Amino acid sequence: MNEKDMLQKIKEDAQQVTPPSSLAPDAVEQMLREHAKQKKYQGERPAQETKAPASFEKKKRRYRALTRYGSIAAVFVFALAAMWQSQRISKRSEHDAAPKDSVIFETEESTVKKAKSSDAGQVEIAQTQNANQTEHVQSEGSAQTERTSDTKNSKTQFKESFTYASDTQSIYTALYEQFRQDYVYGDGYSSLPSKGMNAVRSEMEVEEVAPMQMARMDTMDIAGADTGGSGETGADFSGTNLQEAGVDEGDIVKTDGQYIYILRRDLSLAILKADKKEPQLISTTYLGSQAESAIQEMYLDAEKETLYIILSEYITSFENNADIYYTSANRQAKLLTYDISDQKNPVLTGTVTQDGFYETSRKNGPYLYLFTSYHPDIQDTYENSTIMPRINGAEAAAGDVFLPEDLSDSAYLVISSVSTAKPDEIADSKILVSGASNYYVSEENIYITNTKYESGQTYTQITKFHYADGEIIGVAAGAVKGYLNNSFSLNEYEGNLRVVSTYTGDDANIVRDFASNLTGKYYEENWTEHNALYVLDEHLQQIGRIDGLADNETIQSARFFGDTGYFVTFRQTDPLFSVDLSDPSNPRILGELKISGFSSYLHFYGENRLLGIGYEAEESTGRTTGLKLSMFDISDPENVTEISRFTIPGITWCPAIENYKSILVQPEKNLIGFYCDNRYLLFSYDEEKGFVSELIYDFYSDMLTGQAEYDTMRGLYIEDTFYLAGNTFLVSFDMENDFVKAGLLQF
Amino acid sequence: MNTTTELIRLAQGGDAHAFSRLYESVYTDLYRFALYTLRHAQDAEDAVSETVLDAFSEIRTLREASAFKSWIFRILTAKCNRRIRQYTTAPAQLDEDLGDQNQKQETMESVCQQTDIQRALGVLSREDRLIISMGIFAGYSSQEIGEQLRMNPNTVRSRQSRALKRMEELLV
Repeated sequence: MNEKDMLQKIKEDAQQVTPPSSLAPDAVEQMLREHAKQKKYQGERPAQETKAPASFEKKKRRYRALTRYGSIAAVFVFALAAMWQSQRISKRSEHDAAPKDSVIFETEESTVKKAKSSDAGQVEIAQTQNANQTEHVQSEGSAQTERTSDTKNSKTQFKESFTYASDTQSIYTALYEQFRQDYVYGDGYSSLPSKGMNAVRSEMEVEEVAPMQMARMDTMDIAGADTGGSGETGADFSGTNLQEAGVDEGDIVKTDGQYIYILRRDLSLAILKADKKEPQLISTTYLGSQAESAIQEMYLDAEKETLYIILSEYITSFENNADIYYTSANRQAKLLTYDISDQKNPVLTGTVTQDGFYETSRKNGPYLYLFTSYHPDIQDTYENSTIMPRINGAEAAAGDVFLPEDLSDSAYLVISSVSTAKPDEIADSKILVSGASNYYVSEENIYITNTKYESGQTYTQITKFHYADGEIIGVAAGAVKGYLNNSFSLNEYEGNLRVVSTYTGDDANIVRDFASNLTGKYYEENWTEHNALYVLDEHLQQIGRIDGLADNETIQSARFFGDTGYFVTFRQTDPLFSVDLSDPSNPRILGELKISGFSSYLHFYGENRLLGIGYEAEESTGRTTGLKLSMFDISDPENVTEISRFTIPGITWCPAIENYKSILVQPEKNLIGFYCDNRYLLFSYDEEKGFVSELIYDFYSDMLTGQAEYDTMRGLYIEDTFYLAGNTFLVSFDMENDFVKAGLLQF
Repeated sequence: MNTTTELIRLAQGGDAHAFSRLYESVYTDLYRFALYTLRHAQDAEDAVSETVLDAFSEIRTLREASAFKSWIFRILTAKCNRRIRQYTTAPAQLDEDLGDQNQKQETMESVCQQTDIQRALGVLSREDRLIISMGIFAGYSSQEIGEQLRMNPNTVRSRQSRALKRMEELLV
């Protein structure tokens, strides 16, 4: 079932609902007449005012309190002038001639005054003193920035200081001011600005309640760098398809070359003994009893014989406080560590939890990093609000919360690290008050992007955290214009971040008219889209840019390899751009290959070859007509050529290729496999013959229809056996014997 | 036969009948929106009648006739959003208040009568439900939803898709 079907189901379900008679049009007409009479009697009072006063009153009180305590500031200022950079450069210096110049490590805890209110009931407020005073460390960089900056990007100033909140109340206040008041009266649905609201806002300014200032981040999009295949060196079996070699990612199926581990939707872990002819189910372990839990992903550490399993849970509890009963619901991610030295009997050795909706995770060395998004409950009073997520049962510390001056979303991104040696403990946590759209984790840094829509233009904010040995340190924030296609639009190389983005042309006249707005017409006809590539330095400051690429096309895929980047834009045809990034401050387009269709996934395939998986399309209309595999020769990036293509007409929708973890690409083994249209398709590539279809397995042939979907099954190989592993089946194929089916185990 | 434009002009002049004619074209969806979002029949009914009152007194600000549906749903969204927030503040008092007994029974009854879809919707967060309803019943795009809820459209899209996936998991 896809999303559309689900929506259709809800719609159909709703057809059975009929409104109560009190809401029937004639009853409503009657009600309106009576109401009109009443209104006449009471005197004219617009509806808006009858509803709003209570909350406005409250706000006024709050702001007065703010003035009183406004001068009591409590802010930690972390001047993160590349504090980790010195380490990074020295680590690399053997093979990197980068000069170790002007790298300063500075951590300031300036003006930390704890606000102490004698009146416990009073609103106490932390005021952010401008943390922007840290000087840029590098001078060359700013010169370059000037060179590349133009009026178009004047909005993209970035800020390299991180302010951490001092206490939960200051977080509450910031969030309340930014978001809650919009909800009080629905942000005004009339086209006339609400006078009441404006009055309150201006009062706020007059009283100098320092509003959190927003840092306009420089928009930058990054393209993913070379992500290798996933098999561990020396071992002859496949691993999860990763974006970044060296940074492990979780998945639903893992193997250590002997056993296959499958995370099943019924909340169980199945361990199977791999065997070409007779695979065996060794054990099934139930991971939880919560009806509201769902499996997410797992990691395998074969050396330590340990599995790390991530579940998401939805917990409803019933509480009692002074004769008042209430229920509270809470979503959390749970990391379970299992010792699998005895595959028959996995033993739970540790559990940690983290509030929020599970977003993603990574594993690098002996540390796991969990990412959840958390929605604070912002009410009219601090006491009634739930501001801080719990991390492993304990409320997060306000000092770990980074509160951007520009609050675009009341959601938090919570990042925690867990040491595999202490699976019951959280090693470190940081919270970023921001929405998040993409996550890119390089070997040393975490990049979180958040797309923001503002006055017709889309910006992508990027926040960078350095991580090492479980420690997570806020480093820098920046922004680029436009939105990113996916995490492969970001790539870190030699300390710089490369980003590709699609943005709206400035010449568009945005229709802001209220009435037309509601008809769904947002843009005038000269609305255009363009693409750009940015290079940001380690402070996320822009040092190079190419923009105005491929008008009215959007980026479909990107991949970076060292000094060269490749990305595909599409509207009706597919230019594959190649970019020279050897001078980060001066990226150059090397070539542009125009062919029909487009690739939505790119993967380097051995020397000088780039594989594209995507769709074929009609040149005149851009309508997709079939699935397409392309092999590009990139030996001369200025003249990239498509040396082979394979199309399957009729398949115009294959969601698996949007989920890179479901794709198997193993140049070492010469295998390209993915699920499509109830079949598993497996190809190899031959320089002479081009793409060769090795296997088309129809799940229907073994009556496995419905049990296999791209998000519940994976293809993998161990030595000369190819396996399809799903929730209820393991099918094996003999790779030495023309991929004939060798075994089938259903469980 | 009056055109929508004429009806709106009449309603703007205070004609309750004209307004109810306009309302007639959307009220089933209004109620479904409120019910599927709030999951409580009485609350849904209240939200819709509050919406009607506000819409009637504010209709003079409506400039384009074709925007009526979108506009009235915007009001309802604000009403529902407000209630959603109240749910979390106001604790449910389960005992003592005997006068409430009837209503409680009603609620229990309606819970039993829920369809699988409605039960699955119940496990979503209230905001996610609101986002889903805004798409289905009001026909808003993720951009419109984003603007009204102050979220970015991508967040809306990803939350929509996550919520639907979650429902799908429960319904399998």
